Amino acid sequence: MKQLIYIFIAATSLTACSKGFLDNVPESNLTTGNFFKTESDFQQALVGAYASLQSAGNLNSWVMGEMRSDNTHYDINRGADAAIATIARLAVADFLDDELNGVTNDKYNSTYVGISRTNAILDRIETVEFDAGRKAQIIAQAKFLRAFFYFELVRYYGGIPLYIHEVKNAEEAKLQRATVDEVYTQIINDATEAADLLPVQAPALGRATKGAAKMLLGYIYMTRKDYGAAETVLKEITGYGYELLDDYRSVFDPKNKENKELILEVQYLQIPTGGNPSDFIYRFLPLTDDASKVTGFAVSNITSGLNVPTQNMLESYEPGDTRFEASVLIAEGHGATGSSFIIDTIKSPVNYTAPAGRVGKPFINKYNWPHAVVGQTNSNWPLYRYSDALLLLAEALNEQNKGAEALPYLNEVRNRAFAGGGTVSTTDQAQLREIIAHERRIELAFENKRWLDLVRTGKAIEVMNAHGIEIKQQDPGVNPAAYNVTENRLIFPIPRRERQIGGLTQNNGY
Amino acid sequence: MKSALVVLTVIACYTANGQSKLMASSKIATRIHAVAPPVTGKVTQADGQPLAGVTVTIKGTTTGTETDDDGNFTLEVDPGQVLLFSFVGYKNQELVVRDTNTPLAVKMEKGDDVMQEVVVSYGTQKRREVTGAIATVDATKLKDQPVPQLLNKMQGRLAGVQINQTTGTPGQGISIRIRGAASVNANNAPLYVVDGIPMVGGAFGINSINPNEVEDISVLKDASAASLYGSRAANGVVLITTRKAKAGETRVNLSAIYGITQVPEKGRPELMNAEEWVQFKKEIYEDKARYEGYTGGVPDIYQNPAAWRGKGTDWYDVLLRQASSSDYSIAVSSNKNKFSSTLVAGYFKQEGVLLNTDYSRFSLRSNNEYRVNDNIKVGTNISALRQSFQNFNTDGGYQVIYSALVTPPIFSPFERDADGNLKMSFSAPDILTQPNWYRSLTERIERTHTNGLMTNSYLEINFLKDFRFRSAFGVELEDYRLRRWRPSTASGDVFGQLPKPAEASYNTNSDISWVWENNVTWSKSIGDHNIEALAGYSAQRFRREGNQAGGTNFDDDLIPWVSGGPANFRTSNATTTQWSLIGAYGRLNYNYKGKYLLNAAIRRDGSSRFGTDNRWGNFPSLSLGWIVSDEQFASNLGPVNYLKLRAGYGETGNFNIGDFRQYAAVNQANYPFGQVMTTGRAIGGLGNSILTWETTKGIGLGVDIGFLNDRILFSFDYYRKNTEGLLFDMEVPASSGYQSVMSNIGEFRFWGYEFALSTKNLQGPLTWTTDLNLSINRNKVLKLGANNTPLGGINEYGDTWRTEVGKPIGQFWGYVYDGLYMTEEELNTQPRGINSMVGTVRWKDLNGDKVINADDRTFIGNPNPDFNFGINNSLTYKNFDLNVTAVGAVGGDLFDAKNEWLELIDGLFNTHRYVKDRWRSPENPGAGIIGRTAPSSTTAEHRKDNSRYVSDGTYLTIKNITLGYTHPQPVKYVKSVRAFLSIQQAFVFSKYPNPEVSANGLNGLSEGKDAAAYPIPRIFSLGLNVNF
Repeated sequence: MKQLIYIFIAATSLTACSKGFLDNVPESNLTTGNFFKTESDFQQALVGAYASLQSAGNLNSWVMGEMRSDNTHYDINRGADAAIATIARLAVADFLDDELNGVTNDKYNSTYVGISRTNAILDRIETVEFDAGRKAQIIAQAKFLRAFFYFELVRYYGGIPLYIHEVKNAEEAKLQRATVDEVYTQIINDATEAADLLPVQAPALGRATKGAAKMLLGYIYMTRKDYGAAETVLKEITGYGYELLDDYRSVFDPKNKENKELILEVQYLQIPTGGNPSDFIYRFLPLTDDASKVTGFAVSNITSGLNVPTQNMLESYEPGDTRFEASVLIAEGHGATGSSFIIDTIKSPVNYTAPAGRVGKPFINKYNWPHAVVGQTNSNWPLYRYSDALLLLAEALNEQNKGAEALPYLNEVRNRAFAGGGTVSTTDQAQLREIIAHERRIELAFENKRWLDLVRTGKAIEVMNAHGIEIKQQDPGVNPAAYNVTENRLIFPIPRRERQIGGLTQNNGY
Repeated sequence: MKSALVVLTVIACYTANGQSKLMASSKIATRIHAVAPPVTGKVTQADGQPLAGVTVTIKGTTTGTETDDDGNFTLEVDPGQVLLFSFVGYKNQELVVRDTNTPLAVKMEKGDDVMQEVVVSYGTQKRREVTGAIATVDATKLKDQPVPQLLNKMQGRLAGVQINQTTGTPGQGISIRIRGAASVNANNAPLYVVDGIPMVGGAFGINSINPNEVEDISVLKDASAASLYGSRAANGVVLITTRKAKAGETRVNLSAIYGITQVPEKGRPELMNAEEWVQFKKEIYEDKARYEGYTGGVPDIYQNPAAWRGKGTDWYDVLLRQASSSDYSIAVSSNKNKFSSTLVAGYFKQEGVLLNTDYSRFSLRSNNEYRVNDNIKVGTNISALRQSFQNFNTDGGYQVIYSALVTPPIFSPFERDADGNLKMSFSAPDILTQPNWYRSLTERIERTHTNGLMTNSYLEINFLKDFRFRSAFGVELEDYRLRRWRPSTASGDVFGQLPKPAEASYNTNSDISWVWENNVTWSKSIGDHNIEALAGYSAQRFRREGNQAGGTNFDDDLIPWVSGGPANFRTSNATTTQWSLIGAYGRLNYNYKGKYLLNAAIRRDGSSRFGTDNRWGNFPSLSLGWIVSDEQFASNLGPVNYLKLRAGYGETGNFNIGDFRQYAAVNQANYPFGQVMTTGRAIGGLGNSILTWETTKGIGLGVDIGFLNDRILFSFDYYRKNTEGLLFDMEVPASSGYQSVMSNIGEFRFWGYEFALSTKNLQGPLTWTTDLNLSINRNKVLKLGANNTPLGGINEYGDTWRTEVGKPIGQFWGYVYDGLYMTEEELNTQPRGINSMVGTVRWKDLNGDKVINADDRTFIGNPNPDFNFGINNSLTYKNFDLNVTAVGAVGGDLFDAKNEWLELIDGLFNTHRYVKDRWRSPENPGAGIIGRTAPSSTTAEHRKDNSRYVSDGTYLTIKNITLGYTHPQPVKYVKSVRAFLSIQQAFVFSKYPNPEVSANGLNGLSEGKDAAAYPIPRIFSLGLNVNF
């Protein structure tokens, strides 16, 4: 029996030395346990936050910011191409979206992913010792991004939960909706701090700059109708060395990414070693089994036929506007809508009428550039351009009834578009307001500005209801219940999952 | 480690010193002072096969011997003395010796089940002394079924153990669920223990064991039986004992089975033929013109349906074939003097009924034991394995089977292009471009190889009279390789057009796991008190290193390996993971007079998978038994000759949550600045340092009754258990930046009833036995996450299940189908949704708000059956034997997710034939089931999860029928020959054609979905079994 006791003691004493045996940590990936320890970790975390721009700043924004507006519609074979993801996009365009819509839900979720990445940096960086100047630059960029993300959310969804600290457990994950004003207070604080700290010249293309932060503030103040404040920050941008390129189209040329007109873009990169390519043009092409006339590749893509310029958009270009052909092209062909459409030739949209027996399908040309690998383009997505700043500044001035001051900024943009012509001289506030709005529509076409501009300027309900009547005439397949645009439809619904799990209230009308 | 050495030293010292003191416990000492000539005889089994190793003793003495390989024995006996023949698993025989000159012929009958030894956790126990819920299968009864998987053969044989063949993929597709076990995020697979070594899966997953190596299977169903496996036992434990040579025997067994496999005609979906489909397409354009102002006309190819009469392709049929299945095995076993050895070598090959799919396995097992002396034995079991699969993503949406069903019948796989090659893909107006699935299936490579080696070495020492020490060290090595190749001509899917540049991948895993088990058993009988105590210690570690290599954008199809791709399109990603587990355990078995039984056990486990702050857990159990029939007062129970009552309580855990889940991972999130890709990182989820196991606590009650001298054996079991601290990937608001956090919040309750009946209906020249079992499993959700937020059922498409507090887990969720809006009046007077029009589908307005929207969904079906059952009948007559095994379930719904596509009214796919009779106009309203195709903005409504996709899954499947003939000793040296015919998956009686289907297996939470599954073939086979 004594021996048995020895054995037992020996066996149980094994448990004592077991601590190390059970301490297995992941070797082939990092965890929060061993990350956020050095400056380099924070630099990487910041890159991770920038990476969210691709989903939060762009991915679905062309659906919600452009297809939702009168600029674009869709041209698909509705039944035959009714993948669930496609249906969700059409619903946004037609004002039939609900709280289960994948597009609006993705935008909401992925924007918050970006916010959580900035929060993790901002919460953890103070306790790690490294160069104060470089630390301040990381903080400034993180705050810029957080403000940018919240600004997207508040405009698209109204008052939303305001997380300003990293969520570390389930208890902290649940927040109720803040008011719109609360959100803006936070955004303005973050953006102002960023604007103070950020450099005028970006250390690398795609990084936030003083210009980008001022642009963000400019938009915020314009949205808040604080035109004086907007004027101040936007004017500062004019002193940062930005200028308009002579050729409008070349602004978007992926070979010309480092040009002086760009303030901030969502970055993409197509390189032979993988990179991080974009593929916008593949969504915007006419549906066809053979897109080689446009892309050079004979492949079909069933998720094309989206973000198609409307007739109304095509007609809104003034004669002589060089931006028309730079922004839109016509794929002329024959056959039914859908994969059996055959593209015969590519034409300019200027004065275009389809010959007998042929159909001309417009598509966005801005992001249509030669590329080497099918499905992989090198195009960035513009967020802020200098012409945007100029037009916004003109608008801010005009809203303060300083039309004469506004004109030079407006005309700088127009003169480039009309090869030196196109000068506007009226200083009538109402007329000028229309002209600037129209100019923004054309200059910034297909850059996800139109819907938000319509909402910001209070035009959305009027413009979109009228547009709905037009669209229903042109496309009898549109659901009769579509385009019932009311105040409620100016923001999108909170995702059903968030309401179910987080107990959030829904926006009116959804 | 140092301490381990101490243990060994202690034991080693003890053994050496104690050697002389140990009793020479040879039970059989031959008496030498005989008078009469010795009696000779031969002992055989009921079928005439000689039985070696039978103990023959003179009753009332210790004098005796054992039978030799041929069953012969010689013993000096006085006439009038009684010989007692005993052998484990057989009934004792007594024979009075009248005349020592006449050789005796003794037939041993299989013993009562209650006397059989049952394999239990860390040992064996007599069936009558078992107090927990244990179901067993004698693997020798399973030998005739021509299927590669042990579980497949166990179907229908165990009460409380549901086994479904959810898909017919060769070598795969078997799913098991013991006593309704379910977890939300941890898996619900039982723990498999082979010869005492807990398996970690991988190559030695249950599906790869050659069934011919298996002798015995015990399923520990409740905590009181399984708690010695602690943190891994909550889903039940399956103990597998491999073949060992019987004492004294030398045996060679050859077995060969060859079978033909095919897919029965019955149960295939009835789809449109080419003419019907072209007509359908034509009508879609007509309706589009009528309702949408479409002016494009009907494309030429769809103009003339009649021209397609008698033409076209049945794509499903194109991809199927008649295939073969073969199973060869040789077993050699010998157990003489100090050494016993068993060798089983096997080769199994099954061709899939889908082209270019197959499964094969070479396996070799060698079990050896060397008895150094009466007190020390050492042994090594070695098992080696090589498996090969060719197995595409056959099951599920947009995979091969689904695609074969929906490909329009107007195309032919053997159509050639201008260059004379088989066409790569097909297109026609307004369909998705379809690759040539025949080429896809036949030209792609998707082959998995696994090589495995499992060794289990042990040392057993008897010391101090009543003690036994056992140390076992097991190692599992696995090498896994999956190679994929998709040539440019066959890499298409429904969304892409060919040619697409070829791509290849090569994924490897290399696993090593070791486990060291040490325990000491003390057994002692003091008067009527019988005690057995066990204490032990176990340590286990698993490590995997893997690499995923891939290449895309190949320039050509010349090299079907990753190396053939351009250097800048090749990637490689090597990763590793590991876990470790430590456990200490103890058990006490006590009985008084063999009729009052007590079993108490406890295990303490620590696991690396759990949070540093919550790593250790205790898993106790206690069970009691009372053999009522042994009581004096119960001596006259009429026909009842045996009655046992059992009761137990126990706690077990579930550690299947994956490795490192307590940590929040930091993942790559790169981003380009200018022309430079920059390394970025981001937190990938929420960590949880207090994460720990799920604990299942439960009681079990049971009664075992034998009637008419055990001709009828009946068992009843009741269980009730709660799984607490469910490992639950608790959803958090996405606004936190994360989707969920793994936590221990949630509780399920399970309860059920099991009945097992075993009857010997006929004895004599014609014998007939029946085994019947029936299980009723119920469950209910008690708590889910922090706020009881239901799981699932958020989206309207393909979000098929919802698990909600107060309800059974994993029920189907969706709209209630209510026909179509047949008239304008119906539309105007009834609740409608945003896409409602005359002729569109109508859902029930369940919340009565007059509007149809996502709030009108409800529970539309329950995949959990009312009860499952299995019946096995065995008949023998002279040398013939017949065995029929059936399994079935009553109740339990199935969700036919295929309908989302096979009823697609957009014209992209081929559909069910009845889609012809859809609503087209008020004058032509069709059968009132399928709605209109235009305006096309309404058609998606038809695809939402709804009650019309739900069917009753009640079924009865005759799994196997085997008819055999045995010829004893046809020639010298051959002991017996048996030939048999067998039909696997013989008949399926059910409303739904594929009643065992479940795209996600038997996991409890998402069961019963048919998303297009590999058909389960019927196998006709012929087998031969020769014993030397």
